[in-house]
Amino acid sequence: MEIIFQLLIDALLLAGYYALLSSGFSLMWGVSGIINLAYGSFVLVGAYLVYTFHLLEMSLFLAFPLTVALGLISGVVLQHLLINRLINYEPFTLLVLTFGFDMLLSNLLNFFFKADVRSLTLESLSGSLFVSHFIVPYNKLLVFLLSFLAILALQLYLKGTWTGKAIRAVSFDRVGAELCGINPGKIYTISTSLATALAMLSGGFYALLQGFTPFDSGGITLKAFFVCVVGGLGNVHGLLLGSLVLALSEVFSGFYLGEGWKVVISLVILVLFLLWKPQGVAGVKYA
Amino acid sequence: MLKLLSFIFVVGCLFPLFANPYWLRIASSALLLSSLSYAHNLLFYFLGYPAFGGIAFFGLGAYTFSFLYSKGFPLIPSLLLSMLIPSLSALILLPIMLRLKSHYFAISTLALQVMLMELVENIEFFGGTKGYALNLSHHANIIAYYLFLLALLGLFLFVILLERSVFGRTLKAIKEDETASLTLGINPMPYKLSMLLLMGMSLGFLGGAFSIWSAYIDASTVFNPTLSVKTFFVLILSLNSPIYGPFLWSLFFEMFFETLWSNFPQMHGILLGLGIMLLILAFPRGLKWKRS
Repeated sequence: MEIIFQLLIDALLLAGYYALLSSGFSLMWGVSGIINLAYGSFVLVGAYLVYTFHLLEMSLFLAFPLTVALGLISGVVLQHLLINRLINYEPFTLLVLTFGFDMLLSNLLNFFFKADVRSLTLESLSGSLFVSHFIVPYNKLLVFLLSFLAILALQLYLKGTWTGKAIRAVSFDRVGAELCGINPGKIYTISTSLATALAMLSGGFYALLQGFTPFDSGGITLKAFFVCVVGGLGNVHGLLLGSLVLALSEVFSGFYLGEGWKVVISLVILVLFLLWKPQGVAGVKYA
Repeated sequence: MLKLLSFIFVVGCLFPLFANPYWLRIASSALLLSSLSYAHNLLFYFLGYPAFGGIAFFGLGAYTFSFLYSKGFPLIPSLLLSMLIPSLSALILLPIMLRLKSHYFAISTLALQVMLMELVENIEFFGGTKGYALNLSHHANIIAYYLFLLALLGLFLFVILLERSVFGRTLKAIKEDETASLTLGINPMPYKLSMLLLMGMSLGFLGGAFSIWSAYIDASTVFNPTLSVKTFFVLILSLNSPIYGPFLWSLFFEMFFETLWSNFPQMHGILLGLGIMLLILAFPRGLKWKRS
C-alpha cells in the first residue's frame, strides 16, 4: 500500500514538471494551430545551454534567465525565418518543416556535444526529503515548485495583461480578434517566442531531473503532444489534467510492467483519446 | 506514360548486369523509396488521407517475413504472407482512424507506428531488441532489387490505370467532397477500404523485400519515423505530378543524399534536416486534400 502512495507522490511531482514542459507546445498549437515537431529539440537546446553555462561556472540564477532570453529571441527568429513562409499553406507542410528542423537541431547538438549522456548534478540538490516513510528528492521538489511558479506566471500573463488577452482572443476566434484591431501576425510571433522560451526553460529543468542526449527530442515532443491531446487545448485545466494522466501512466506502468512499457502504454492511451475524444478532457477548441 | 514504363522496365531489368554493388544499392534504395511513395499515395493523393505512419505496415511486413523465414518457411510463401498480414491489419486498425482528418489522421497513424515499434521491442517472442538476422543466399541483394522493381512497376501501372478509370475518379470525388459524392449515390466506405487494403498489401510486400535486402531487421529500422518523413517529403514535392513525381524525386533524393553522405559522413543528419527544410520552403505548393 505504501508503495502506491510513493508512486502517487512521484507522479504528482512529475505531472507538475510535465505541465511546464507541455505549456509551450500547447500555447503554440492553441494559438496559431502549429504542431511544432521541433519542440523537443528546443527543450534539449535549453538543457544543453544550462549545462554549458554551468560548466562555464556561471551561477544558475543567471543561467536560467539567460536561457529564457535566448529562447524568446530564437522563437521570434523561428517564426519570421521559417514558419511565416509556410503559414498560408496546408498545415502538413509545417509538420515536414518542423520535423526537418528537429533533425537539424538534434544533429547539431550531436555534432557539438557528442551522443554521450549528460546530466547536471548539483551538490545542494542531491539529497532527499523524508516525510514519514516517503521519499521526496530535492531536485524533483524544486523543479515541481519552480514549474508551478512558471505556470502561475504564464497564467497571470495570459489573463491579466493586454497582450495576454489578445493571445487568448486570437486563439479563440481569429477573425473576431482581427475585427477588434488585433494583428494576428504579431500575436503568432509573440506566442511562438513565448513557447520557445518555455521549452528552453523546461529544458533547463530537464537537465536537473535526468540525463539527456541529443536524440531525446522525439520522446519529449511526444509527451507534450500527449498532454495536449488528452487534456485538450485552450486552458490550464487541460494542461494539468493531461500532465497528470501522462505522469500517472508513466510512473505506474514503469513500476509494474517495466521501463520499456512506459511509451507503449502512453501511446495506447494517446491513440484511444485521438479516436474517442480528440478535443481532450477539458479542451475548448478543436484546432 | 507507357513509353516511360517500358523504359524503366528495360533499364531496370538490365541495370544489375552493369552496375557495381554500390550503385545497385543506391538504385535499390531509390526503388524502395519511390515504391513506398506510390503506396502511400494510394491513400494520400487519391483519397486525401496522409497516413504518416503507413510505415507501420511496412514494418509489419518485414516482421512477418523475417519471423516466418527464420522459422524455416520458404521464401515465396513468407513473402505472400508478409503481404497478407499487413493488409489485414490495415483493414482492422485504420478504418476507425479514417474519422480523423488532415494532420490528426497523420499523427494518430504515426502514433500507431511508434506504438508497434515499442511493442515489438518489448516482446521477446518477436526478437525483442535483437531483431532478426536472416540467413540468405549471396544473391539476396539482386533478388531484393528485382522485388523492388516489381513493386515499383506494379504500383506505377496501377496509378496510371487509376488516373484513367472511373474508379480513380470516384476516389477523387470522395476526396473533394464526401457529402456531395454521397448524394450522387457513392458509398465511400468500400472505396476507402479497398485502397487501405492495397496500401497495406504493397507496404507489406516492400517490408518483406526490405528484409531480404538488408538480411537483418530490428524494430527501430523497419518502424523508423525517418522513413515516413522521407516518403512524405517525396510525396509533397510531387503532389502536382502523382505519376512521374514520386519516381523522379526519389531517384534525385537518394542519389543526391547518398553522394552527400558518402562525402560528409559526420554531417549527414544535419544535411538531411537542412535539405528537407530548404526543399519544403522552396516547394510548398500543390497541397490539396480534403480539409477538416
